Amino acid sequence: MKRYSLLILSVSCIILYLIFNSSEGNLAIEKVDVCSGLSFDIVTNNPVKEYSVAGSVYIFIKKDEISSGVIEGIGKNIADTRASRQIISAKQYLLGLQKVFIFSEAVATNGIKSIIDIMFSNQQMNDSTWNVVCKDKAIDMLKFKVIDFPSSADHIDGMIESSIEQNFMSSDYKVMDMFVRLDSEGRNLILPYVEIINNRITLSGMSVFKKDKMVATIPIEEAKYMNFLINNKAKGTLTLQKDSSHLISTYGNVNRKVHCKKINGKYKFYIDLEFKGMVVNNTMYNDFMSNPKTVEKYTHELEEETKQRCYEFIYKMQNKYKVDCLELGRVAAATFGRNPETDWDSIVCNSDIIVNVKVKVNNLGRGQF
Amino acid sequence: MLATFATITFFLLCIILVASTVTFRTSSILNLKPFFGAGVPKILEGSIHSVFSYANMELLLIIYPYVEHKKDILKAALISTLVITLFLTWIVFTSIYFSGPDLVVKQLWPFSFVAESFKIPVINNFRYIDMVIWITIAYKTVSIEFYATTKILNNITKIKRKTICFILLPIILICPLFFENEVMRRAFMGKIIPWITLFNIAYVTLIALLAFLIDKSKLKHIQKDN
Repeated sequence: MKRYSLLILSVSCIILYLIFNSSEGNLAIEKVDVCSGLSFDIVTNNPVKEYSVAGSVYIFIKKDEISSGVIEGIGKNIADTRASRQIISAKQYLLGLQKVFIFSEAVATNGIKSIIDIMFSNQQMNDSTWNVVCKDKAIDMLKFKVIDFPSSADHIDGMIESSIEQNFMSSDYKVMDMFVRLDSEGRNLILPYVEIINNRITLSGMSVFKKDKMVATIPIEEAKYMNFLINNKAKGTLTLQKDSSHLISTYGNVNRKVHCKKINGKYKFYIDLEFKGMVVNNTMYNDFMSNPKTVEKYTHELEEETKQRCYEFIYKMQNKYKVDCLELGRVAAATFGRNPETDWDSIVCNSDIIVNVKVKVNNLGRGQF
Repeated sequence: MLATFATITFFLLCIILVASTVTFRTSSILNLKPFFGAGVPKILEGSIHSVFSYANMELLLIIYPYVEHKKDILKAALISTLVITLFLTWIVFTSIYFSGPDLVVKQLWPFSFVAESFKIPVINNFRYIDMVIWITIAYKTVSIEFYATTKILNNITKIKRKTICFILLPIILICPLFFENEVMRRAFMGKIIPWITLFNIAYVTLIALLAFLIDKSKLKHIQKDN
């Protein structure tokens, strides 16, 4: 009896579990709405803000053919929109597999703190979902038909994931990065900005947040230099162009180091950037491949031009946008002490920022035509 | 049997800690600086809260009669203290390194957040594995304390150990159900645990001192008689 007691105990435990628990929670995939992306809009503003949250769900009707549909819910808060979405859906809603959250510009300027709170407290939400801000209505972005993916949320997911190849973009735009950056001292949230141009979804800039409200949208040509100053180990192209027929382009990686000093109560930031790349296109110097002095001359010219463009952006950041986009407050807080009350935006906008750029050409390609 | 259980859970804990090193790639040391920026008084105040992790060391005294190699027991106690210190520092270090000092205070379980970031293709969320291992570790702690409790009660009241086991079991199963949510549990524990650990430390130090003093005088007494 003693030998069998353990066996009887375990088998009876399993049987009890099966009797009481077996019918909940396991559904066939045909009865589940798998959501691939969510969009957040504001419908009306008075008397109370009403959110419209739409989810893009996969539809499996024919074999080997996946399409998508959009289910919309309207409510005074995010949890009510779930109830409103359920009354037009024939299936149970599955959270946790989203790829993209799309915020409209109105939602971003009004503040996204309540949306972030519901993501943070719910453990089933996927923490590696991309966040983007879009122009006009976010639900139009979800309803947009793309050819190569079942739904536009998949398309945006692929777009942001592969955007690190150019424009010095990083892959820090996930929900987990948003949690870390939002209320952190000296850091501000920066998200990609998408809109529909020429019937295609385009990444047309970067949006800068102060606390949880969006304050500025930076177009992609300027944002390239902002990314060059912020991101460590990012890839992109720098071009030295005198006119249409004389240019040199270099594609490479940038490494970044920041120091901070305090002189007479005023902060001074030193940003050291090192750009190593491959010369992709050269129509300016004919003796590039044979004369090392030309390469040196080119690197000096590129350094000067990049420094000038960086200073142009920094001037705009300190005077027009008035937000610390470059995460310099974080370095200052790490060096001199942390205090949640300090306003790093105004301190950085009044301080000196000195940029040092070093360019190294480490690859010349096959030859020059 | 408890010993093999404890060894297995030790290895599982090592696995989680090694898995959490993956996060070092994505964040930076800036999250932790400046070191010692809060000042030494605040560090000492924080160390009072972490004393709870070193509790149950005094159970070593209960198993002392059964140990064969009595000389190595000092070395074993010191090594185990070192291991606990290392693990605790590692966990706190990784949580702050990954989440940053502002986010850590907003979370209920900071180390679970770190475990979520470890992405393997097969498993959707590493937190589930993390949870199973933590539950096993908690079970190990509870069973060791239960063993010690029954032994002590047996010694004091002379009731047989088997009866004590059966009496205590329903109490231990039902008591935790009174905590309805995390907030109540933390409030309750926050009041009781400082007193218990203080009592334990004072009690054990007192006994150690007494044993140290009495031993010498007894030895002299025996020598004189002989």
